[in-house]
Amino acid sequence: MSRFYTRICTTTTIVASALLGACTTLPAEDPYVLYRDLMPTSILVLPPVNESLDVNAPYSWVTTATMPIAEQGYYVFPVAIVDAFMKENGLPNPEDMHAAPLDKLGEVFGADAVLYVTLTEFGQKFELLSSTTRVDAEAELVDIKSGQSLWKGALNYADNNNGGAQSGLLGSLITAAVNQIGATLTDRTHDAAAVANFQLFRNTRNGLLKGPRHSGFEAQMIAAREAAEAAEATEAANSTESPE
Amino acid sequence: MHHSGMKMDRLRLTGASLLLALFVSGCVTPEPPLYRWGNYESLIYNGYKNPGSSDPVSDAAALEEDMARTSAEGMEVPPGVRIHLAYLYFEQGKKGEAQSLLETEKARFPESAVFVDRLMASMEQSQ
Repeated sequence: MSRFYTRICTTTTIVASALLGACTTLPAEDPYVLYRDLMPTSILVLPPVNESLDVNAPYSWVTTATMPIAEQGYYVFPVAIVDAFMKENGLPNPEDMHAAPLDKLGEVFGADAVLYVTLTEFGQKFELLSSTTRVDAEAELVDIKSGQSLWKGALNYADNNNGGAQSGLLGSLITAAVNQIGATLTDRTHDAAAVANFQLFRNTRNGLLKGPRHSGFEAQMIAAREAAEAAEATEAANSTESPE
Repeated sequence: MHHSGMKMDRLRLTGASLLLALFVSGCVTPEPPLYRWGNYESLIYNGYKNPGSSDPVSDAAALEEDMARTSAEGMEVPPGVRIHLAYLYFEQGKKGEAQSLLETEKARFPESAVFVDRLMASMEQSQ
C-alpha cells in the first residue's frame, strides 16, 4: 500500500518537474534573434489559404486569430476589412492575397509584418464510433520591409470530441474545459480553432514573442539582451583562456 | 436577445476556462487582458457563415453596444474594431461618424495611420 503511494508521489513529481522543465529550458540555438532585431509592432493577418475540404475554414480560422495576436501585444488590422479591401482591389481569394508583393502590402497597410497561414486540415472527421476535430496549419510571420522570415509555427491540433485531446496536457485541459461548456456540433470546429490559435500564438516555448503593447515586453527584451551579453562574456573568457 | 446573451456567456466562459487551463499548466501566470473583446470576432464569423443574417445596421448596433460597455468598464477597445464599425457606417452613408471613428483609431493606435489615411481618402473619393 505505502509502496504504491510512494510510486504515485514519484510519478507526480516527475510529471511536475517535466512540466516546469518545459517552461524554463532554453533552446541551444535562439531562433528569435532576427525577430527581436526587427520587432514588428503591427501584424497584417491575411485570410488563410485553404487546403482542407471545409470551404468555410478560412473564415472560421481568421475570426479566431485577432484576439490571441492582439493580446500578445501587437496591432492587428481588422481582418474583415482587410479581406473586403483586397477583394475590392482585384484580389478575390487568399491565394491572390498571399501572392501580393510585400512592398505593395506595406504601401497599402503600413504593416510591419504579414502573417501567412495555410490550413491543411480543418473540421470533423467521422469514424465508426467517434469523430475527431482537427485543426492543422502552417504559419509564417514575414518582415514586410526585408522579406525575411521572423517566425514559423505549425499547428497539429486534434480533439477526439470526448474530452481527451492528442495535443498534450495543456490541450486536453483546455479541450475538457471547452467540452464542458457544451459546444454545438456546428461550432465545434470554430471553438477548436480558437483553442488551437491560442496555443499556436501564445505558448511560451515557440509562440510569438511578446509584442510592444504587452506589459511583459520590456522585461522580455532586457532578459534577451542580458542572456546575449552573458553568452558573449563566456565566449570571450573561453577564447582568452585557450592557448592559440 | 436571450440567445445572444447566452452566446456571450458561453464565450466568456470559454475565455475564463482557457486562462484557467493555461494557469493550471504552470507556463502562464494570469495577466489582465489588454482589451475587452465583446462580440467583435463572433460578429464577423456569423456574417461570413450566414451572409443573409447580418446587415450593416444591426452589426453596427452590436459594436456600438460593445464599445459603450467597454468604456463603462474602463477597458480598451481592441485594435481594428473602430475601423470595422467605421466601414459599417460608411456603408450606411454615415460618413461623418465613419471619419470620426477612423481619427480615433489613428490616435489610439498610430500603427494604423497608413491604412486609416488610405480608407479616409477612398471614402472622400466615393462620394
